Amino acid sequence: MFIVAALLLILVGRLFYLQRIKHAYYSVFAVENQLQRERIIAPRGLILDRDGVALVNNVPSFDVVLPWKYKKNLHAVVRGLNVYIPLDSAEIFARTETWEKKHGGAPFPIIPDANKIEISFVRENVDLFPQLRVKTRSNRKYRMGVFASHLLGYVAEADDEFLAENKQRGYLTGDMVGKTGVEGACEEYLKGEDGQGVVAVNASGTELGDLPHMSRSPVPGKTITLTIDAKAQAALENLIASRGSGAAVVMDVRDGSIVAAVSLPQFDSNSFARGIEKAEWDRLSTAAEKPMFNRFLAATYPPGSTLKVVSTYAILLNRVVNPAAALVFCNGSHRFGNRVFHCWKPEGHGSMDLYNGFVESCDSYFYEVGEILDVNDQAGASREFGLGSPTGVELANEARGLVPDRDYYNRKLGKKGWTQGLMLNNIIGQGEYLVTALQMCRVAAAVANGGYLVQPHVIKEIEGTPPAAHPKVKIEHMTPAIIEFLERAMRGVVQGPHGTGRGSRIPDLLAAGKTGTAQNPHGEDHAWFIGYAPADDPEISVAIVIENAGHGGAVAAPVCRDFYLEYFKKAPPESLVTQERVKAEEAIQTD
Amino acid sequence: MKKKQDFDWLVLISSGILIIVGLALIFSVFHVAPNADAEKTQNPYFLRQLLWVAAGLGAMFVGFSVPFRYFESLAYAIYAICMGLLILVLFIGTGTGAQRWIALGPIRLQPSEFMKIGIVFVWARVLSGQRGGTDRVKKVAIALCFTLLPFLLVLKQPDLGTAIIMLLAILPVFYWRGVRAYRILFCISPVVATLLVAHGEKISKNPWPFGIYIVAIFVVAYLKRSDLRASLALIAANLGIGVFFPFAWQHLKGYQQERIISFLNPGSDRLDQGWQVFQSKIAIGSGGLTGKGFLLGSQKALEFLPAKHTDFIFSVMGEEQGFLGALFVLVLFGILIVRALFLANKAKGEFTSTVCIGIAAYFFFQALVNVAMTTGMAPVTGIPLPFLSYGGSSLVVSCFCVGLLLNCSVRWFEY
Repeated sequence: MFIVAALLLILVGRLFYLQRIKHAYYSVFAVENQLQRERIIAPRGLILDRDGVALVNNVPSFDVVLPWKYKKNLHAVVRGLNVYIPLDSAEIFARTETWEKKHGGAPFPIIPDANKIEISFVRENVDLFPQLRVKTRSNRKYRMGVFASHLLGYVAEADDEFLAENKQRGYLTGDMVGKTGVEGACEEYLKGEDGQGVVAVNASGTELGDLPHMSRSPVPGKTITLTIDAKAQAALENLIASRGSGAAVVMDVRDGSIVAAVSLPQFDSNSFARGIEKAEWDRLSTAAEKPMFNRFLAATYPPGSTLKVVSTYAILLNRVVNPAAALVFCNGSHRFGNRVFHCWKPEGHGSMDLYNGFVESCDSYFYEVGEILDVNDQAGASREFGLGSPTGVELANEARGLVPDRDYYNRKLGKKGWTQGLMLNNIIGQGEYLVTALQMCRVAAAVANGGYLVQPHVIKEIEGTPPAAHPKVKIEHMTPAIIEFLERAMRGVVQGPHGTGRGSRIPDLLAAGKTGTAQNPHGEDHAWFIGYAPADDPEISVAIVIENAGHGGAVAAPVCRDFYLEYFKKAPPESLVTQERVKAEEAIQTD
Repeated sequence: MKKKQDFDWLVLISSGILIIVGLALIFSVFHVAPNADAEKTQNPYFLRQLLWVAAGLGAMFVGFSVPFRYFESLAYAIYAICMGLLILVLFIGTGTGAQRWIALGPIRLQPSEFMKIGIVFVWARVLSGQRGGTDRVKKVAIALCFTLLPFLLVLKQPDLGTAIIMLLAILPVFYWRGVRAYRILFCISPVVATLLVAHGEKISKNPWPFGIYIVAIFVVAYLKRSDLRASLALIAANLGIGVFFPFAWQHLKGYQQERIISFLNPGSDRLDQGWQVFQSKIAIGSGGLTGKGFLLGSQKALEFLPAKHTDFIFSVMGEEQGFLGALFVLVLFGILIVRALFLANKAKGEFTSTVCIGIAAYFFFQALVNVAMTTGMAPVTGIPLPFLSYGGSSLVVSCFCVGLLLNCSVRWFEY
């Protein structure tokens, strides 16, 4: 009797504990059970070009989903649904295996990307399938398709590393996040704030109605306006694509805003937005032409003769030679010790001073100077022009390039490994120098704007954020005399009768530039051209590198000319739209 | 000859109220909003349970009117029939997950429920009177053998809850028939100690239950210090299990450990059993003092309550009628059990008296384990709450038991 009473009293005590002391605690859960909370993912911010043209926006798609708390009914629901709508049950059940692990308690999409018939069936047969919902999902849409992929980037499901780093910011497994390009760089602005929908449900899970007072609307992501000119970008992409793979950057020389940034080949960012197929990903990531590799930002190339801009600055700054003296008679080669260095022009340039050596890109002249120019002086000049370090553009994974100095050679070749002979290659941009297209575009911009190193940037404005300052820095030791010489020399390259960049010349537009033909271990020479226009009142600078395409003057310079025609809307000269155009290009055998 | 004035109205009234409460709860569980489709508003479970109540009243009448001496002489036959049904379940049993039922046309019988009464009759028959001889140890051994057979069959179904209830119910019966409580404690304490240590070490990671248990053992041993040898043995056995369990555990193979763990913690097998108990606690806890009102339980209505019409019906009571309603149900069970103990004391016949104790033990342990389960104090093992849970077999047997108690109340003087 006593034991009976004692044990029953324990039960009473337990009931008292649950129903009196913890009543409020459990009541919260009881209310919560009648509600269905749903995360409303904020629409991602738009990406516009400089003129407000939408490059990236969002389009809705519809999923037929089952809230995960009804997972026990999943098999019954799928079997029932299969009577009316043909479904691949095996595939659906296979997806449920990993769903909880990957997506937590998120509603399970029984029919992803449902079509109109499927959506209206589910909406009209609530009594048959009360637990099913139609969920709107917003898909990233890259409106121009295969366009500026490396610049815009793409979105894909967040990986574990990202989730671990951004725990506090409300990301869940399966969220789409910006991976590269602007999408990646501006993730925090583009994401927005997720909202929460609260719906009352009855016994079988049928929705009874929204509870707006408990819901929270999502805050859309911020609109990003780029400095990119979509038309210029498209034009330049087409021009480069017709010549093969490579990179090109067009920059406003006055403030460093990037007008176009091309990396080819590229990919369709849309294929990532809906979850890329494995085969497609494998193809993209293993293809020999490396379409996922950002060539204007992360690829480094030997600069070839375009480096002579920097070399000339080093020569003038350090007063190595008298620029006006006809120092060299180029006969096509140059002897240094017991080695022979060849000029690109086998028959020779004849008598050369610094101006002509630059305009005609005479290697013999620069070999001669290379014998006495100090390697560290050239390295210092290169660094002043921003080579050897990232430009600091907003995009991630920027390459720094390489500016070799005496320490570098001693490290690489052993103590006292440096010999002056290495300078002969360095000074014409064929040594160890490595640069990016973006860096070289800034070099051209620096000459164009009177000796200022600008801050390259692609973001013009982030909605609700004060515009970022992009200060330009005067190149430390630049003098008016040197800048005047460089400007004159670069004009001579394009406008002069013997200039190697004649191929970029068009009437009514004074342009300046420097060609380059970069020998490289991967095959044919890379064709380089850097330049700016109009030379009398510079607006834009251009850097173009076309991989394994041959001579810069013959291949890259005409690409620049065609771009100028598009960009400045100058009618192409009569002679160039005809057959002669091709012949003219072939005729220009230049460096 | 019956004595009308001795009729135990309290037993009839308390069990009658429990049956009515059970009907109301089942009506509430399957009640749907009146604006739903017409075909859904019918409440087949309620109507079916109503029929079972009618059958239960019939069983109660049988239990009330047949003199105990007939039951005593038929005890083995009844036991044999129940065993036959239990064996039959092995072959033609139905049920999802466990084979517990025999389908007879539209009705389903659960032989393990009927076995409860069969086994009580056998216990009473074996342990009472002089017929089995005077050797008490032999009688206890025979009773245990009779228990072990249905225990194993029920365990095989598997229906751990009912099987354990059978073992628990025999203890008060032994005590009533003269086995000393100390001896019973001596027999079961090592088993309890093992379970507590294993559960505390491997599942709950909570050493307190075993600690409290050991202290209680020390207290008992001190009180019984006159029998010094037994006391020391009791302490040694229980402490020994606590100390040597980790060593013994290491000698078990991995799969053996897993089996023991899943036996002790059936919730670990099925992911959602912890969830079930949590939902049950939400239902009871959110009921508060006075409950949400008849038909108004939200947990129940939202199908968050598992097995809400059977094993978890007490949660519906707690949710809709609150602490007062749940207390009311416990008080009714308390009255029933206390009256059964009173009748056992009063009855002159040893068989009658023992049957009353068996019935009291069944009601008590089933109510105790069921309520402990729904309030999250015991593992989910699947035990119906007598009178309240939906299910014909349980109700008919419970009513039959009430009939027996009433029978005893008017024929207490018969041998």
